[in-house]
Amino acid sequence: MAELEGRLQELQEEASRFIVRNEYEAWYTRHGAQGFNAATSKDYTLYMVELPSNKIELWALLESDRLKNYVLRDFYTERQAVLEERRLRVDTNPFGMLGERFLSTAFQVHPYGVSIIGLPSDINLLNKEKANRFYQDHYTPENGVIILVGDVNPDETIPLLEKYFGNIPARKPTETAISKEPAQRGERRIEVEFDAEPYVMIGYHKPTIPHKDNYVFDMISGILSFGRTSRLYKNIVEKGIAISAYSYNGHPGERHDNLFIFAGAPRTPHTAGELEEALYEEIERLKREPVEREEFDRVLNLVDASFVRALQSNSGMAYWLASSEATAGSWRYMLSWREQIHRVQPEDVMRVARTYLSEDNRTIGVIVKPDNR
Amino acid sequence: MRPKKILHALILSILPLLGVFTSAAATTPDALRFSPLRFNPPQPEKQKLSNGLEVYLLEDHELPLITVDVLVKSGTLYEPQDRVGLYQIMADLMRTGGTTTRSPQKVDEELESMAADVDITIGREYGIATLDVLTEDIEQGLEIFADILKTPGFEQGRIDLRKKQELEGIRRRNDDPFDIGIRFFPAYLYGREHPLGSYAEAAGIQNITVADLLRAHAALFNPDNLVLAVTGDFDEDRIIPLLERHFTDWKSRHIRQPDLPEPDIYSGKPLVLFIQKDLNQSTILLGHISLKRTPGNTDIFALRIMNEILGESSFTSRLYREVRDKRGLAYSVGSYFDTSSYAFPGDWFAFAQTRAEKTVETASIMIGVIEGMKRERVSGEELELIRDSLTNSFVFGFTDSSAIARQRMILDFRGYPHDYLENYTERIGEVTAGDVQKMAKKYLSLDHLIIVVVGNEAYFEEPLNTLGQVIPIDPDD
Repeated sequence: MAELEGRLQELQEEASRFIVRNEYEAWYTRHGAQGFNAATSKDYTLYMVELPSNKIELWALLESDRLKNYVLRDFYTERQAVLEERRLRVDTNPFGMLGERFLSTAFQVHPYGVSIIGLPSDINLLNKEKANRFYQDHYTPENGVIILVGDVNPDETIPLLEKYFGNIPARKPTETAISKEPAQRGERRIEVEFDAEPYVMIGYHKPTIPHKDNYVFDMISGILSFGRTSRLYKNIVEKGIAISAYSYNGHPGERHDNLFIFAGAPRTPHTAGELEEALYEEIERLKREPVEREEFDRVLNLVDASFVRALQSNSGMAYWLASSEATAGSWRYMLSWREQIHRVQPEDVMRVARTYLSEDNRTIGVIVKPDNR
Repeated sequence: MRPKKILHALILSILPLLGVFTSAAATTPDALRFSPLRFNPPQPEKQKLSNGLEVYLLEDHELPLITVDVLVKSGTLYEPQDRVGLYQIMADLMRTGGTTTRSPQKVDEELESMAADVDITIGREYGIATLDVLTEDIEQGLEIFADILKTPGFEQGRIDLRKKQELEGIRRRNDDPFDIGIRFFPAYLYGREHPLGSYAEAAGIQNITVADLLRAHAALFNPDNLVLAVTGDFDEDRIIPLLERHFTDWKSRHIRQPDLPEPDIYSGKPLVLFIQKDLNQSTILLGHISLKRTPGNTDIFALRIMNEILGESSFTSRLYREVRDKRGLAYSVGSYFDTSSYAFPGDWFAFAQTRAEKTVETASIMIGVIEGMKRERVSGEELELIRDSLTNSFVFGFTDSSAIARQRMILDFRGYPHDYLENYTERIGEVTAGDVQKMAKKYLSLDHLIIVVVGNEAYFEEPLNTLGQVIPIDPDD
C-alpha cells in the first residue's frame, strides 16, 4: 500500500510539471480581484468575483474561456479538498450535521433531501467522467445568467459580452427527472448525537414560488422573527427560554416545494423540548388570532428599508438578482415580490398557518449529547 | 486632402491601436489593455463642535440613508480582569437596556418603527457605536442615539437576561474546534492573567453589577474619549445644529484608565497545546507574536506582502498551494497576521483544518512553508503578483462613504500623516524580495512557536510530540 502511495506521489509530481498552478486565480488576483469564489446551492451554482471597473474585459475573457475551454485539472486532489470541506462543515459542525440529517428525513424522495457537499461515500465515487457529463448536461448558454453590478455602461458592455460569450454554441440542457415528494402523512422526529449543546430545527412542507402562499410565508417569517420586536424574539429570546429562536422561509432551496423552518438554541436550564413547545405556542397563536394590522405594517416598513439598504452593496445586489433569476425565472421577481408582500392580509396568515403548520406535516431534528440516553 | 483632414484621418486610424478596446476577442490576458481606473475617493471634512468634540462629515446623496459613527478611544484591554467580557456586555446593554427616559421596549419600538439600527461594538483598543437611519428620520434617530450614548438605563431585567445569554455562550464555546483553538492560543502566548490572553469566565460574568456597568460606561463614553463621523444624505447646515443640540451638554468625567502591565510573552521551546475532541478533522493553529504597530513603522508594507504570499491571498498563497492545492489536505488553510495592535504586539498564526490522520504531517508542511519564507527570497513573480494585487485592489477600501469616513477617523486617531493613504500603493510598489525575506526572518519566529491542536489523537498517524512539548488541555478550564 505504501509502495502504491509512493508511486502515486511520483506520478503526481511528474504530472505537475505540466501544470501552471493556479494561473487562473493569479490573473484575477494580480488585477485586483476580491471575493473570488464559487458557491453551490440546491438550486444553482454561482461563480463570483469583484473587480475594479476598468477590468471588465479581463473578467469577460477569463469567464468565457472557462466556460468554453474548461479543464478539470487535479480533479482527484481537489476531491480530497472537498472531503475536507465536508468534514469542516458537517462532520465537525453540529449545525451542519443536524442540517444534513434533518433534510434527508424531511425529504425522502425529492433531491432536496440530498446533502449538497455529499456523503463521504458519494464523494469518493465522484470521477472526472461524471463531472464532465454534468457539465455537458447543464452548463449551456441558455442555462446560465450573467449578472454585472457596478460601474458598467450597457452600450459598451453588451457588445463586449457578445464578443466573448456570443460564440459559445447553443445547446439544450438535459432535463433531469425529479420525483415529487409525497405528502408526509405524519410527524418525523430525529435525534443527532453530537458533543455540543442542544439545538432544535423544525420544518413544514410548503409550496414554493410563485404560489401565492409563498408570499404569506414570507410575511409570517417577518412577523415571527424580523427584528427585536418580532414575536419569537420577544416571547422566547427575551423571556430567556432560548438564546436564539427564528423562522425562515424557503429551505433548502426555492425552485421546488420546500420547507418553512423554525430553529433555535435553548438556554440552560431550559431544554430543547421546552423550546419546541414555545415554538408550537407561537404557531397555534397564528392559527387562532388574526394578526394586527400594526404588526403587518412593522414588517412592511422593515422590508422597504432593507430594499434601500440592499442598494448599497454591489455584491449584495448581484446576489439578489442572481437568486431571483435562478429561482423565480426573472430578476423582476425582486420588485414584484415587494408588491405581493404588501397585498398579504391577516386572513391569509391564518389560513396558511392552519393549512401547513400541522403536526402531520412537520419534521423535527434535535442535537443531543451522546451521554444523554 | 487638406492638412487638417489628413491629421484627422491619421488620428482616427491610430485610436484603435491605443487599445482602449481591443477589436477582436483576446485569447490571453496578456493581450488586454485597460483604460486607467477613474478613482477619486471623496475626502471627509473635519469640524469641531463647540465643546471640542471632533466631527468628520462626508455627504453622499446616492441613497436616502445617514450613518452616524462614534469612535470610542478605548477598548477591552482596559476591562477589569475579574470581569472579562464586561465592556461588550455593557455595550450590548446600552442598546437593549433602555435609557433613563425610555424603557427598553420603547427604545426597541421607536428604533424599529423607523427601521433604524443602533449597534455598539467594543474591540481591544477602540470601539465604534453606529446609528443607521433613513434620511427622513435623522432628527428622531439622533435623539434616541444620543440618549442611548449619554444616559443608558441598564434596566435590571435586561441585565439579568444578557448575563444569562453570556453564560450560555460560555457553555457553547467548546462546540466549535476553531473557537477552542483561538481561545487557548493567546492564553498561552500572552498569559491568562493579561488582558491579551484572558477570556470570560462564568464567575466573572455572574458578578457583574449595575455599578460595574455604570463605571464601564463612564470610562468609555466620555466626550474627551470620542470622535463623531456623519456620512450619507445629510446637509451640513442642518446636521451641525442637531449634533450641537445632542452632544454638547455632555459633561466629561475625566476618567483615567489604569496603566496596563506588559504581557509575559511566551519565550520557551515550541509548545503543543492539545485538546482532545472526537473529531475526524483536526484544527491546527501555529504562531507567535507579530508587531506592536506605530504610525512610523515602515515594515508594514513588506509585512503585508509577506503575509499575502505566506497565507492570506486565498488561492495563490504558499500555504494554500502546499496544503490544499497540491495535496488536498485541507479545505480551509491560510495565515493571519495582526498589524492593528498599537498598545502591545499583536499575533500571527497559520491555520488549517485537516483530516485527523494527517494532523502532524499537515502541521509539518505548514512549518516547512514558514521556514521556506525565511530561508529563501520569494520569486520575482510571486512578489509582482501580490504587489500588483494590493495596488489594484486598493479601490475596495473605498466602496462606501461610511467606510471612508471611518477609515479617516481611525487613521487620525492613530496619528497617521494625512497623505498616508495617498502614498500607500507607492510604498507597496517599492517593496523588494529582500524586504519580504527580512520580514519573514524578523517576525515569523519558530523558536517559541505555540501550536494548538484540537482533535482525536487516536486517529493521528504520527505522535504530536514530534512537533514540540505536548501539554494536554481541558477546554473547560
